[in-house]
Amino acid sequence: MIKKKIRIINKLGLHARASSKLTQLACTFKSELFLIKDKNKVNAKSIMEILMLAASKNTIITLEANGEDEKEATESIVNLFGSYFGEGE
Amino acid sequence: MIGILLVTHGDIGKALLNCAAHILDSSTFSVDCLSINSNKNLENYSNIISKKIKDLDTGNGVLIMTDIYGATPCNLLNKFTKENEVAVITGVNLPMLIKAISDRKDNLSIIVKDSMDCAINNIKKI
Repeated sequence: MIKKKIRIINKLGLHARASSKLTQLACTFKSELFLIKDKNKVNAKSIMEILMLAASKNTIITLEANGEDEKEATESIVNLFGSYFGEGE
Repeated sequence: MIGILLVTHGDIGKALLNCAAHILDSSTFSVDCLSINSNKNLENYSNIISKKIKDLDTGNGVLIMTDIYGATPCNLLNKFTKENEVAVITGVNLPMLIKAISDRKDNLSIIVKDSMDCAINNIKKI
């Protein structure tokens, strides 16, 4: 199992379209993927669960990946956050 | 995959559908909507709904969402609730629709429960 802390750097945080992109990416992996903020742990493959985190810019969340492709999944998801979800800011 | 039909007052359904497609960045294949105007012939609407259900059903059933319980769009749908592979839920909101579209490969009864839970869980005082 891999646990990775990620800072949300895009201006709008984990808003609806960003959460949708994250879900679409997460669903391409076989591993179980979770996002954790404070005491809330949600399935990273469910857009409506991700949105319940209400995670804004500069929030630090933890990605938990568990499965055969956990390394690739973690790397891809970290990159998605790092790319500002393709939003440019 | 289930079909999804929005039967609402005015263009609420159309607007919800556009927003869901924008957020999910995906096609709304197998999702349709119908605006109800109570000044028009209601029997015509029943025929239209019946046809839309047939068109949307690929063998896994159709989930119909409407807005106000007890209002005309809802009342029009009463007779369709007796059909085996049709489920009708009220109080449609955007979270409910997004959840249903996201999960539409699941079983109809599971989607009904999860969509309703999602709709309710998204009503919060912040």
